[in-house]
Amino acid sequence: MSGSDRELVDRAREGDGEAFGIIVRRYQKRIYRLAVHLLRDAAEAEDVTQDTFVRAYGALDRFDGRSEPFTWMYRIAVNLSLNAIRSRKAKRTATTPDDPRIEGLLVERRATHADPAAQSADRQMALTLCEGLDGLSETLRTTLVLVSIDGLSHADAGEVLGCPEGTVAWRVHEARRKLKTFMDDRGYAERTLLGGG
Amino acid sequence: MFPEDPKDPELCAEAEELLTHWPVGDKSPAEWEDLAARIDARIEITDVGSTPDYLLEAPLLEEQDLLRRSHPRMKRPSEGSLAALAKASLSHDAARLEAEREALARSLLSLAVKARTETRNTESRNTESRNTETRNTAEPADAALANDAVPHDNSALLAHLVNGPSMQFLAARQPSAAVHAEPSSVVALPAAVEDSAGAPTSSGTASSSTKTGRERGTMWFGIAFGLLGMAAAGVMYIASARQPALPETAAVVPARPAAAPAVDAPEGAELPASAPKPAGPVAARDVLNVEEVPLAEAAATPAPARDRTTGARRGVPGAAAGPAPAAAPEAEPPAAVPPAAGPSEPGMVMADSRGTLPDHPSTGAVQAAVGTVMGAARACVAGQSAASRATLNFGSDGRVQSVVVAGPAQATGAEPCLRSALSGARVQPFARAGYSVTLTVRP
Repeated sequence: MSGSDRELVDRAREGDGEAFGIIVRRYQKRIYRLAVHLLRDAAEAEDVTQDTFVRAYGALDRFDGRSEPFTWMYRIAVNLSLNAIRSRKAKRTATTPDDPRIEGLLVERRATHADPAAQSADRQMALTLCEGLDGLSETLRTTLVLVSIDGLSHADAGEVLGCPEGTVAWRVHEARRKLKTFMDDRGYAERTLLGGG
Repeated sequence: MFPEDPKDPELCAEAEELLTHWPVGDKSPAEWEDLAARIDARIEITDVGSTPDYLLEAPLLEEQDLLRRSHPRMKRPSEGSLAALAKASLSHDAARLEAEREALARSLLSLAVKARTETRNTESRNTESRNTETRNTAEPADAALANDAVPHDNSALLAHLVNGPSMQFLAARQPSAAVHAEPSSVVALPAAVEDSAGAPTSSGTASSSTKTGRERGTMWFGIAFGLLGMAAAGVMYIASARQPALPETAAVVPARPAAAPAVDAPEGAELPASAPKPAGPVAARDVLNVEEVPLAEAAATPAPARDRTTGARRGVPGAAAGPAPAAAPEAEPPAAVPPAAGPSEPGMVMADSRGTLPDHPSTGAVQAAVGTVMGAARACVAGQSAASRATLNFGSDGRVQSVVVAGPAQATGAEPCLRSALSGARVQPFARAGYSVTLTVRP
């Protein structure tokens, strides 16, 4: 698994099937996490992850190289996720305990938090955080997920969303402000957890 | 970027840590590999170039502007309209000027009361001084103001002060305050105001003689402005009186034919032209004129039958003087309008002459349109054993937007032939966004 993303894309464009497979394995987890946070459904997120790479492959002829391949794929993933959300028959409002975001979190935390009380507190806080995220608008949530959760820079997020860095910065600021208000109102203004890893 | 809060708000430490290190997922490596393998399998059967462009476009663009607009912090003072700024500035200045004027009026009031008291005392001492006062009313205002020591000059000053605009302002603004300020002014103020209304008393004459040039200019300007306003109102009234009082539905016609008022008069204009009209219908008509005429004209433009009626409405003399029976229904609501003229093509209903379109094409119009293309359509399915169905979707312009073929002709060479043949059908433009008709095409 070697080569930069651009080299792999160039090779895939020339017909190297393995090269695109390397890209898939390199980014599928992050694309899946992005889709899970946007869709809040593991099965839909998996579908979107598959579709993202298939669609990216189908658009290789239009990748002009001005952006990074991963931001290009992120853009496709965001578009597919938003399409999936908008095509749902019923709007999903409440955060359920079997939310895939929380399940993934707890699987990882079980290894570090032996104390059941800490695990329960972790779960409760994750639920609250998810509720706060879900209360944000699509725009703010998507931007916050890209920047804060996925760790994209403002420039890269701007590339994905097709907006200036300043807009991304404002959205992150606004999303965090709303999220903080939400968390503060629910008693998460200060350190409240037991343990903490 | 945000001067009042430059740093992004931070959540509590645990939430922050969770947010920035959210785990990817609970899949095992084998599951990830399985997912990648499925993607590989799909990619093998995917053609490069098969992805639609919209998936490559920037998402959420339409929400950006709304977000920025809805955020109060992003609103700068300069975003307000110039008119709003000017109004705010004027209101501020007006308030300040009003306060200054009120203070000045109060000081003048006390001065006027003092002067009147002194004058009365003088009158009681010397009755002959009144004659002198009367003679002195013709003297220039400057002389009257210059000699404060002479009693009759006090009277002139009093008249000026009491009749001046500042005093009237104060009396109009706070009559009770003026009364309470000085009991002796209770009589003085009403009398002074009465004098200023035009009674040719000695004090009124003195007042007019002491007016400065600026006040006179203001007065003449006010009179001229009032006359101009009255003239404009008169012109507007005459113009509106000449216009026939049409029902509201007729307002969509921008220019009436010459004969139309005579036709419409019995229905809409019960009042004589010279009688004042109620404000309600006139205002409603104006609103309709502004809002509906462009819509009606735009909607009517593509209609072939509208050209004729539009030509008639725009003042072609021969067409304008159309027959009365055809023009009379124009004043009725659209729902009650019968076809005003004969259809231009067989089976087609004309749009009514006011610019409103039918909601959808009539059955006869559709039958006629289909009839013109059915021969060619049947030729397409000639030789087939069973009939096929075709759904024609008409756009609001009357053209066929799409044809969906079902039955034996579907997915055969007859399908494009059918589409081509049936696409030639035309109906009149209609108001609805679309209208679908399903046909059976028999071989």
